[in-house]
Amino acid sequence: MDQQEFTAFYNETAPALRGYIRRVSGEGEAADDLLQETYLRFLRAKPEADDRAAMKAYLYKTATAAIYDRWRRQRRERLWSLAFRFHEEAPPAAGTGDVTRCFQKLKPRERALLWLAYVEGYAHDEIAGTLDLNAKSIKVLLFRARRNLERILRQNGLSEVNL
Amino acid sequence: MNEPEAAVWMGRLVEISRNDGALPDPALIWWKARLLDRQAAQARVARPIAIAQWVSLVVAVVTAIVLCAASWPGIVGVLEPAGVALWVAGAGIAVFMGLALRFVLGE
Repeated sequence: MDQQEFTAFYNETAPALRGYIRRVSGEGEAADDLLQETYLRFLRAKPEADDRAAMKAYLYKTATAAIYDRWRRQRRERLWSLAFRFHEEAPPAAGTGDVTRCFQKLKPRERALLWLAYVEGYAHDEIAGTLDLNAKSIKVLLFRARRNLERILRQNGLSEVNL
Repeated sequence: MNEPEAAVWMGRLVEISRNDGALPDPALIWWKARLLDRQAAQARVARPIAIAQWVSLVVAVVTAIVLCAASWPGIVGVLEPAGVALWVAGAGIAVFMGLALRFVLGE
């Protein structure tokens, strides 16, 4: 992949990918760091530029791994700072509205499932590949994620009436 | 909540995400990736040298220990009449040599 191909691929995928990272990770400003990290890992893996769909799937898999790595790092740092009593509360998750706040109350995996299924329009086997899950379990997991989202929306006064 | 309803809610999130501001510059990411590749290649090239340094250190330490053990009675014979001062000087030289090696390898 040369620079021109990468720029075209970036312009095509980055806006949606940033949305995915922001909503799944719950990070605000740090989402751009994660976005850069994702593309850096992607480029350094030297992807073949002929299969666009496979590249995009790999990109989302890489983004998911980057999000999980960041959480692990943050957990380690929190434990370390707690040990020395210098712990500061993390800033609240990025959210610009009630829908975003409700979405943040879901489990990370549920957020990723819903985004990949209903924003990216991924098939169940593609979601399974991206999130390292069993393809047969995706239907059930998506059903639970939708049910939980509905419950949270109801609890926050946002029901189907607002559709 | 059925699938079309979920799609509507997710669509709202996408709308919100559209106002997230300017994206990072792709050219910057491209050059950063190339720079990291170059650094990794340099590290790969320098790796045999680093390994050789460690091997030489281990060989030197093992040789010194073997030599000391082999000629221990002779060493004791030389140092004993001189008393504590020579023992301290010997230990000091050993520590100094160790630190010097550590410094050279650290560089």
